[in-house]
Amino acid sequence: MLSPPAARRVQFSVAVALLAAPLLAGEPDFCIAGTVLNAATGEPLRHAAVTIPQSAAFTDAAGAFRFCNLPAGAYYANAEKPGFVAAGSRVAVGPSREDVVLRLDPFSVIAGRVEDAAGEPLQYALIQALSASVAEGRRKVRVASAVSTDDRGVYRLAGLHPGRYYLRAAGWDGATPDPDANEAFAPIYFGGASELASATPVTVEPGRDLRADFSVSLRTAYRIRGAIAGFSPGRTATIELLGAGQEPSAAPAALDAATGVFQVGDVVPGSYILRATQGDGRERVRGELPLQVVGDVKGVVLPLVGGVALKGIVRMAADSGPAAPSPPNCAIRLSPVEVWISEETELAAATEPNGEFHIEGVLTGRYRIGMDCANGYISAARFGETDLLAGDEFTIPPGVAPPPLEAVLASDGGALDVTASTDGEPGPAWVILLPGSGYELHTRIARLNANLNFSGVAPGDYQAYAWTGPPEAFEYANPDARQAWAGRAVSIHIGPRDRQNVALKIAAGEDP
Amino acid sequence: MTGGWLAWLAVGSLAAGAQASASEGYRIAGVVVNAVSGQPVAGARVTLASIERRGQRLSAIGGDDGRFAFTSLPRGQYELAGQRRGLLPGRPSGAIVTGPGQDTESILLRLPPPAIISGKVVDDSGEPVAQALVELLGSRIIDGRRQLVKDSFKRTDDIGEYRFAPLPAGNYYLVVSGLPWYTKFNETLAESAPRSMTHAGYGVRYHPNVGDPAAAEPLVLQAGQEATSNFTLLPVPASPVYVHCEQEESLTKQYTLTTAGLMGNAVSVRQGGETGDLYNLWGILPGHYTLRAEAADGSRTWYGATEFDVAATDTDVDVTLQQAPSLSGMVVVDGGGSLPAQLTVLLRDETGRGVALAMGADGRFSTPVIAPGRYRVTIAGADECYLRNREAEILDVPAGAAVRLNLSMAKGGGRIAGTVDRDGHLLAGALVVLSPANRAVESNSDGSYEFRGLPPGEYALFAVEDGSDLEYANPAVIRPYLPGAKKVQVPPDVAHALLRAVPAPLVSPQLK
Repeated sequence: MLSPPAARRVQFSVAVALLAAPLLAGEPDFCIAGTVLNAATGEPLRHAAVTIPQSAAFTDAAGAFRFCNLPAGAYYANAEKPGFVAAGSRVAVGPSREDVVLRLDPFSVIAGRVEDAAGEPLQYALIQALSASVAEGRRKVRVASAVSTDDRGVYRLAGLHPGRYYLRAAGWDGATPDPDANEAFAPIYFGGASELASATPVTVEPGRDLRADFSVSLRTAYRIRGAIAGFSPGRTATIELLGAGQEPSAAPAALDAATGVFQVGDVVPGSYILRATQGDGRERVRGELPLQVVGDVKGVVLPLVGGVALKGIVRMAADSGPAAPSPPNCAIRLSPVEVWISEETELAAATEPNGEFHIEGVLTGRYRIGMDCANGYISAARFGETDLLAGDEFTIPPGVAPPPLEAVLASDGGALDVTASTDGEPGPAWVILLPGSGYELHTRIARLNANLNFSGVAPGDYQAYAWTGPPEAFEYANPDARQAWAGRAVSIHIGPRDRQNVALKIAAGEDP
Repeated sequence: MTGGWLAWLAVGSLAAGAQASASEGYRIAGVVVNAVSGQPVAGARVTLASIERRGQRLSAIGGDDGRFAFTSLPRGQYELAGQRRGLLPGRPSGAIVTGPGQDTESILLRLPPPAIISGKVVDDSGEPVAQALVELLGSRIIDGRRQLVKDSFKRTDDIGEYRFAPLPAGNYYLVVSGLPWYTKFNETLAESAPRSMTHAGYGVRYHPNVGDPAAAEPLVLQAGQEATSNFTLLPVPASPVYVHCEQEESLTKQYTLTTAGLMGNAVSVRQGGETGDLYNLWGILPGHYTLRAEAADGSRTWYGATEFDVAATDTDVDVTLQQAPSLSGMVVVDGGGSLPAQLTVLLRDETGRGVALAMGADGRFSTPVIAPGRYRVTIAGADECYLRNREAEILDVPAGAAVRLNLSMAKGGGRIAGTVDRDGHLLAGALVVLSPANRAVESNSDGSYEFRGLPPGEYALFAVEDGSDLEYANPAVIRPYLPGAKKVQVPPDVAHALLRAVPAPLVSPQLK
């Protein structure tokens, strides 16, 4: 059945109208006019597209644009052009505005050359730009952009937003310059580090191109061959090879969708984890196998194991007293401990009225747990032999029912009223309480607008911080980052059922 | 592998010596050179494969002076090949023949330097067009006929540049299509943006930057030549095409839009993937188009195709997916009897792409998925038999069908063998043509040639000195050669009839 294009357009128009209707109606006799400039050079940008709600126009050779016959009101004017980061501005008309200036930052480019130890260019090398972010106080990276080198060994990563990137020559991009040579190279970061943990990022500024060359050592490469046991023919499956630091290798993996027979090529000697995953969501099954590669590896059998159910219970502390609010009301989050962000999604559950919770489809691997309770703090938490309060990472073993996760919720926490300001101006900020105990389950982080109240804070010593910018600006789980931020902290002691006030100075959310 | 072959692994003695005596075996030695400069190439990988004993293969790395040598070889015919990173693979024409009186000591193994095509795509105002589709088609002889083959495609980068390298010498055509970036406002401002934004498109351009396919010219590249071809895409009025495909909505469908372009060959106008039931094509110029859709879920594949015309208005198009056709068949030998081992059924589609199907010991071959289309069928490895049902050489595979292909082979067939000489000297690397069998071979290092598996009949036999560009299966092309050809009869019902020592006359075309 065909739906006529006209019907589709009505949908678009309605959406646009709802999002962007002028805030004030009036006689349509005003204009918005101005110029679009290259923010890096100040030069006018011709043939940029400027849009306001319900209208669009190109800039002329002088970068100028003009919209007229507009009712009075507030508009959002947005400009874009290939090679530039789109940007806009709020414009109120009534009277007309003739002086709107929209400045576009050019995208940045990182370019360079990859050569072997003899200085010969290498084609088909895969270069990745990894952008770093911080989640739960830890640095995470994801591949922001990736390209291959050409026959001159030259690569060009374009369209990058300004920011910090780790550059990695990951391996071959799928093709190799000499298919019979069985040569490959181990991943290397710009600057020479072999792992992310010791790599130094490069900072890309708007419109400033950066050059980054790599020299790699070709080594004899090997193949890993085998079969997935428990494979469901025809269902989507992936084979990954994780190298040092659990970093994904670029080694090309081929999988026969009918049989589960696989081959991973171009593997340089080293320690790896071979991982196979099949299915989606809670149906996912996974197998992992550590491998030491010193030559061709044949006959690998990689069994797939389904996810398990993680069961647990949150109990009220025995001495909570008659005033204790019950039942426990906690949100439980389970996130895989991985520096590289893949498609993995966080698993979550909420406690039931009896305090029990269960999370289905948990695959084998290392996890970190988060427990946010509306009516108290976690005073004890165990997973088998692991004390989750002392260290919050734990391992789900493959294929066996994990021990129950048991936690105790105490309601004798204190309360803290927080205000924060910059030069006497109260302002929005992110606020974190880092416990002196190091117990991450007692860490509290929240957004402060005018003021902020933390309740159910575990008794103890804390360092409190406030900063502007994104919440991930502070990599608080990294001791180095904490050291660097130490001068910004305010120390607080909170006793049981205590109520305190603290005034924080807001720091800029970047490295001190 | 025989004991004799194991002994050959002692290779790589680089000194050129006297002809080995028969008791020590034979030598194949020479020097690897750059085919253009003639300079020795250091460190090339040289491989030698026996033609009579398939699968037996030796490999050696040439010296710094380019020299290589394989020693202690049995008498026989060998394929020699060399490769070196930065150069294209090279091999001498025809086979190297060892035996008494054969000089195989000073072979020049010529590796051609790669050719390169690069260029830039800009719009009417000289600004780069990113993400333009640049298609490279090679014009070359396949099965005796000149064909246009889709070799590769690239997308231009952020500065409008593309680069094809490494390329072998040859004749190439370039086809460039693109989409004005601002047509994306069809998605948000279809009603309110000016038509110059929403209803613009770029016409297809051909090398040398022309819009008329009849004016397209080939880029004729010699080995090592670097060519530049720049394009200007001019915006003209065009319309959106809305493609509706309401099946398999959860899968990502790959779409290819083609139009009749170069010499009756379809050229790609747009390629893309989309999940869901709607695929929007912005900026389509008036004309006649074919749209192909493909989807796969790991075990099943679907194909769909539709032809439609675009006038100066928005167009809706329906495409229906059908389960991919399958192909199965059997090769039977007249009068029963066993089949030669290692037969392969080769199918080549109209764009020159090939599908190879290995045949089992019982003569059966099959593939669960084959793209719909017209294929030319040949059988490889059939030295000792020939195809009897010639009508099976053209195979039509309709969408959604389970196609059966039965091939009837006659065992035996004639053999014609002999030598090519020029002025009393045996000539290596000449193209020996047999008509109307549409077959051709290159003469070996000793001037010898051989055809096997010939159906009974009368043939014309001739040789040309440099036949690499000869369309030997085109009757019009070979007609001028026939007056100088030798008539050869393969009598009926003669198994393995060998017409020995038929000298193939070296001819020049007799042009009237």
